[in-house]
Amino acid sequence: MKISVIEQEFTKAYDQFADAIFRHCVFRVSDREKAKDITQVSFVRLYDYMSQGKEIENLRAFLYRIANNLIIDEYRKKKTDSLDRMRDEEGFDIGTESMKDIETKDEHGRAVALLECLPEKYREALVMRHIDGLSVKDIAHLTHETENVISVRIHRAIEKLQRLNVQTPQHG
Amino acid sequence: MFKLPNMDNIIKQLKNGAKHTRLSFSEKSEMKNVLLQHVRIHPVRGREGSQRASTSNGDNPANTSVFQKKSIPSPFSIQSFRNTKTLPILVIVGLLMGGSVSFAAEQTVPGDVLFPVKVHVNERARGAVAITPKAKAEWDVRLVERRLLEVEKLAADTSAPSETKAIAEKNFKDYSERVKNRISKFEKDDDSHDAIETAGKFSEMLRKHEGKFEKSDDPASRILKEENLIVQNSTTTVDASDPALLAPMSFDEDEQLKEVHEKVREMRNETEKKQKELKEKYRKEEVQNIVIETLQSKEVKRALKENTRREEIRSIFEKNTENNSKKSDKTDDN
Repeated sequence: MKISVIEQEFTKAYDQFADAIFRHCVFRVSDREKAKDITQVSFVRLYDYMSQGKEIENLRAFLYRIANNLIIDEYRKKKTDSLDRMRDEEGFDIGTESMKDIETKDEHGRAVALLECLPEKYREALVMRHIDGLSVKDIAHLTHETENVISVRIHRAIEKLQRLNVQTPQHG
Repeated sequence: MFKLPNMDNIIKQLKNGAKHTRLSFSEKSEMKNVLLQHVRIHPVRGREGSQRASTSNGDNPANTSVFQKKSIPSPFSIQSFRNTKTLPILVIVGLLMGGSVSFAAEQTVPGDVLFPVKVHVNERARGAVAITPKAKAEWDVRLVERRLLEVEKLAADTSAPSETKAIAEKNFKDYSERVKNRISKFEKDDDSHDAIETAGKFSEMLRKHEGKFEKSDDPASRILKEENLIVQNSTTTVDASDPALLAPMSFDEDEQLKEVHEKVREMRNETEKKQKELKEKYRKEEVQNIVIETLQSKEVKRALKENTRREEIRSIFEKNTENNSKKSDKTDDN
């Protein structure tokens, strides 16, 4: 009975947060397949942690932390690859299945393209704040930074994007 | 059309881009299957009750408190030995200990910690090897000897409490009783040969041990011992020439040995009597058998004799008739 309780809790967590974690990953790694992999591994890690009988205070923040650590690992791996090759693949496939029309696809692509221009730290903070809708406090907690640092990063990220937008005009 | 996006515009852009970003239905269910498979392969172990993850929408603590009770894993659970080297080590240690324990138990007497091991493990194991009733009876005789040795050991030990001595003597009696039962069972089954043999072995063994007592009991040595005691009491400077012989022995100890001796002798007499009875019974049976056999053989002889006599008579008669016929032939010729 206890076992099924943990399984139930885990399935519930998956149903509730799978999309959010996946979205976060997509905007962080700009690759749908990689984002899927990271989402899956995040939930496997979550289950392993739960099944060891450890306490989880905030499941949502915990999941974001796992995903974030996995993404950081992914970036470290990427560094060993050729950065130039990564640039060449900029026009990635976001998967048409979930994109209902060209407009949404366009919006999505634009958002991803914008985020890709940002340094990793800024991107992390911005995605968490405005795409995942986490509070500054939560972001600070799960990235082990102070709230002030996170606020500054978000601000600078937006500033930078504004400047970029000025340099590269967008179609309204 | 060019536009200078402000801060809100950027955020709006991002949010719009993210709005429809999600896993497709098939992707989501596929991933779920993979995860459930992982769950099945790695079932929940250990302190499962304690891991209640409070989700962001907040579970009612009253509902989950039931599952928050920590279950304490049993220290004797086989689970605690899983995936460790402990179990094989325990098995090896157990085997080694078992061997040395049963070896150490061989020398014990009632009241020792390992005495039950001697009686219930060692002797039972060795008794199980004896399959035929005769072998069993022999083993029982051997067990009586073992009990007797214990009694002797305890009788010689002045520090042993009288209760343990009483237990040892009771054991000796009980085991002797078993041998007697064996003998009477042989008797019932008309297996008189085995009965006599067992009784013989039993009395022989008893006599052997009685002999030991007699040695320590014989008057000459007793006088020597008593003298030694007197000498030791009066002059402490006397040097003992033979330490074994001159070892101080209390009268109390002597008394006990005597008692045991008496008991053994009683038992021996009883067994010898039984043996004699059996022998006599057996002999009677034998005599009867011999008588029957001799009677039978006499009859046969008589029959044979009669036969031969008949044969003889017949041959004489035949000869006579032949002679007669020859004579008549001769007279005819004439």
